[in-house]
Amino acid sequence: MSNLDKVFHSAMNEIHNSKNQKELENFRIKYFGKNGIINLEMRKISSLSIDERKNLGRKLNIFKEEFRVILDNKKNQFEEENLLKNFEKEFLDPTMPGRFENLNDAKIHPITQTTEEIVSILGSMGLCLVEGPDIEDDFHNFTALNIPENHPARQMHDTFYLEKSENNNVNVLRTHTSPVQIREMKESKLPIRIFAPGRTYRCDSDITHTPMFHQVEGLVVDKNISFANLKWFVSKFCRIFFEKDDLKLRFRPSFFPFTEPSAEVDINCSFKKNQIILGEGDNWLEIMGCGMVHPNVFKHCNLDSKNLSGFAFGMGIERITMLKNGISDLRDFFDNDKRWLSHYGFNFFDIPDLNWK
Amino acid sequence: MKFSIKWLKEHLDFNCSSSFLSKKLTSIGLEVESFVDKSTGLSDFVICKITEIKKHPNADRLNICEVFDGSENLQIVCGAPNAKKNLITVLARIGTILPPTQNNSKFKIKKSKIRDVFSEGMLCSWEELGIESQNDGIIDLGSNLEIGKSLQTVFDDESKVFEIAITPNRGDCSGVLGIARDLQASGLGKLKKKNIKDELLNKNSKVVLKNLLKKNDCPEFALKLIEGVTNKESPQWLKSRFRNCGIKLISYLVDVTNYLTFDICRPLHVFDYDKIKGEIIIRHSSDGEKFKALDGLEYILEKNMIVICDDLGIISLAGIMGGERTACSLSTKNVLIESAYFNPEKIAYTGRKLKIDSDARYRFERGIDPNSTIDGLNIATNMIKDFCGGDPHSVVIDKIDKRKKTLIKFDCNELNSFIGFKFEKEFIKEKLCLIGCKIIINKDFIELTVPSWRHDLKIKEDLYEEIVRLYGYEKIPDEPMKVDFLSNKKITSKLQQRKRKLCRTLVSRGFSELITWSFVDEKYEKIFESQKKGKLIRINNPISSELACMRSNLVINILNAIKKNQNRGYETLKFFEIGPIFFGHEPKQQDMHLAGLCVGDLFSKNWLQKKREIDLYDIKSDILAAIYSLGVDVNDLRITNLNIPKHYHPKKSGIVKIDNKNLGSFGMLNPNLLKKFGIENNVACFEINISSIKNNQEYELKKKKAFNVSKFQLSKRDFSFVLSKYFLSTDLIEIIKKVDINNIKNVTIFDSFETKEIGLEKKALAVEVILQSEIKTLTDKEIERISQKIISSVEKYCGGKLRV
Repeated sequence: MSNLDKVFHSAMNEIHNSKNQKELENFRIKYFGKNGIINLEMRKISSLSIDERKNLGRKLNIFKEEFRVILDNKKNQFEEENLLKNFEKEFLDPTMPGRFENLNDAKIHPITQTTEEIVSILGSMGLCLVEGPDIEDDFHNFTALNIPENHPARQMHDTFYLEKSENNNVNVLRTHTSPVQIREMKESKLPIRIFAPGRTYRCDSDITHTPMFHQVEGLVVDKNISFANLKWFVSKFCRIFFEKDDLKLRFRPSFFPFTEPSAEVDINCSFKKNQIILGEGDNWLEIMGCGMVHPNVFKHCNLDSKNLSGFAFGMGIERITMLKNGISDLRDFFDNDKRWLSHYGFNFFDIPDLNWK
Repeated sequence: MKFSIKWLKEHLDFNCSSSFLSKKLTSIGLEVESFVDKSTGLSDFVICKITEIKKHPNADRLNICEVFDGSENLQIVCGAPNAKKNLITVLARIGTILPPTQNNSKFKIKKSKIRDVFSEGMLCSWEELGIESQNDGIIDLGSNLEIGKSLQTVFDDESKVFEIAITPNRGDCSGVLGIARDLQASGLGKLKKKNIKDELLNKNSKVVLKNLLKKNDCPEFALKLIEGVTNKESPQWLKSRFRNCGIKLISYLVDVTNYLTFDICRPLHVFDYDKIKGEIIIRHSSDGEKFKALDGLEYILEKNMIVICDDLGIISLAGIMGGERTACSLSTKNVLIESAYFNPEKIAYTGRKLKIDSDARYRFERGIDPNSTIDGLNIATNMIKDFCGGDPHSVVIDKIDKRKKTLIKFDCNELNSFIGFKFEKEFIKEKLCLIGCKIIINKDFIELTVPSWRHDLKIKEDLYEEIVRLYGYEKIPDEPMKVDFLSNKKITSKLQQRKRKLCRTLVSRGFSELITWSFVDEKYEKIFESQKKGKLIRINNPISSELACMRSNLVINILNAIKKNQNRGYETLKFFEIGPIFFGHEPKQQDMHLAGLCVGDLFSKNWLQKKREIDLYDIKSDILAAIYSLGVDVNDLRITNLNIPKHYHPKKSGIVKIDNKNLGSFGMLNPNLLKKFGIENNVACFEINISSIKNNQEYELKKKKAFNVSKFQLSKRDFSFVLSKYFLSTDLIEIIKKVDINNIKNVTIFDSFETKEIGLEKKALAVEVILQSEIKTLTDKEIERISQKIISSVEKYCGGKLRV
């Protein structure tokens, strides 16, 4: 082994065995520094023959190259090790609470969410949203809807009456959203395709009644609207709303003064472990009323029932919200308990869409 | 309306299961609310006989009975006072399970020792079997029963009871006959023909009757006197039928009238004839006239109610309730039966005004069959004569000659297109006949007379319902509707869209949505009233005083919700509501408001940030975020501290204006107000009147402009001005911007502080001004010139000084 080979060999060994970056740097200086071994050898080159010069030059170049690679590798190794050591010192506990952990807390009220679901479904079925006033006069809430003064049907509604107004009118808090039908039929041109969600009021308060609740009303008036159309429309709506394609519906004869024929609509369900499961089983749950618009209602709206017909339907928003979301107590909707709202409410990004078949 | 299967079978020949019957009833519109078979679960109980009875040696109230159960004699200890020798009663053998009742959960009979005497079973009461709610001792089954048979054999169809809901239009079905008739029309069973004995050959009545209301409120009034009756308790069959169907038992004479009320929907009334003085007159009441009814209460009548009188005064409130003075009792000897037809609206009005509910009123106001007057009298007479004896007089009647009949004509083609289904003409004819119509068919037209008991059939659509109802709603196939999707009408209004945006924006900022009553407690509303012009909007018949007044703002209810949740232990709360507020008694005098309230600390128990109370600037950013979500350019808003509503802290609040009109308000609520709600913490609040934003307002962001930004260099300069503490920052920004509208792109306040050095009632505001030209790069000189102008403007218009 030549003298130079020995130097190479020990250099490689020293680098390999160096313990830290400082040692490594010392070795670099020892061999490649200004006065390092390599430079000393290089200075010798001028005194050698051309052949020897060539030979030594090549050797030195190879050494230089190899040395650089192994030195860099070692250097990287030390840097990585150092980083790892520093990581230990940089420790943060990821299980500590983040800055905003209350994201789940604020919610949209279930009534609002259901209303928006209804908007997306009925909207896509060609109906437009309209609204009417909460305070109504006798004509719109009763008379125009074919509910005369002494009719027993008036007793179906426990009406809130307001004190006399300045114009001596005794107005009521609307007992249903049906007066919106009247306002719409009086004001709009045919065809009419509307729905009207909103607050409604009845003078009743117990486990299953609150003095204020929400309804949504639907109305379609045009030429040649049939009872079979009504059945199709209502069935379609229910299946989409409850997200059950095979939901069974039962239409049974009923009575509303403002529709003829009238029907009540039930959906099928089963009761399992105190829970209601929709769309299976042979039990029935009442969910809405509907029917063909009564000719007297058209008359009150100055429409001629000879050339047109229509259907209307109405349902309680709380009720369908309870059924869809497994809410058991109606009164909780208006109790404003933060825990209940967080539990049954919806996130701001839960935007009802038309992801249905 | 309750009825037993046995009762129904008296009118209808049919044979089907009770579950089939139940489905049928519901499918024709007579919704079944319940079906109870009282014999269910009673097969293990045995008919037995007490053969011997002796006193228990160790207990005064107990007896030791020897009971024969058909095969052996058992010893049973029994405490019932009515236990006696030869009583036929009901035995629960050892091992029999007693059903759960109101007082006990279910349990199994075991052999036991009662005070040292063995008992091998239990003698039962109806209450212990869960059949009746009160305990009258052990069951007395009467006689003629086979000992050892199951108790279930004692029950027949009388114990199978349906309860159905009757819609207001179907008064005719508030009698079992009407239900039977409708079932027959639906294809289930056949009506039984009944012959009513008409006693024309009775002796002439001595009753004198004057009907003064023949022309309007009482078109038909009839009386029948039966002399020499013996009134008594009703027979067993009627008792058990009434018990099963929840009808009160009084005495036979009265029970007969109730029986016909429920059987054929023919309310009747019976008077004790000996208590009537003089002639009978039907007239209108006068205002303030008093009447003591059978329920023991005295009613003060309004004028024009229908009353039946004798020489001494009112003896009955027509169609609603009889009087106490002439009521029948067990000692009644001569009975006068009344059968009449009254104007339904008048009955409804009277009943509602006087708040009397009775089975008669229920039927009269829905409309009974006016042609049943005489039949009712005859059936009642026969029932009374057969059970109480007596000598009937002939009917005394005072009525109008002819009643109008309802005629309806319709076109079958119209029916078919209205329903969307093609009905066979034969089917239409058959069904309409079965419900009692008299029909003439002329090609596609059907002309008919409506039966007298169907007051609900007035127009052709009513008959369409009959036809489709009896065909079966479920059998009409769904027919898709043609929808014109090209309509350019928007699904939702601008207002609705705004509500939705506001709601989701606020929830994303940590506010929970509330829905609260539209009414509030007057005492809170009054606090707000002082600052409004309008009056309180009171409800005449509120649920409670806390819900007696329409709200003029959303703050009251949200504050109450905050208080409630604070009581539940929540300290930091952020709530909002979007809903109507009211400013008048008339329809449409309402606006859509938004209010957001927060209370408590931010970052409480947070290891990263220091906790601090929610303040004015938190709520300001919330209201601006809300307004921004509406598409309003926040730069168009102007904020002032003038005319702050009184429920806010006068110095920690602001008004948001746009185009010089109020859009909303925000700030800390007035501590005086909070005290009244029992809230001790500071509450921040903002309100927006969503209705006040008009559609097509210019400030709503229009279509986006082309993307166009200056390509020249942008410079920033910071200034610090010393100003009066009360000088509004918005005015400072305004004045700086005016210095060079073209080149000053933005002005931002980035610090504000008050120290001793700055001076009393002074503050320092640090401002960043961004300068940029659209046409060139601004030179240092130009920037310096603008800066100097800013400083001199602030000195001149704001009384401020550059801080050095």
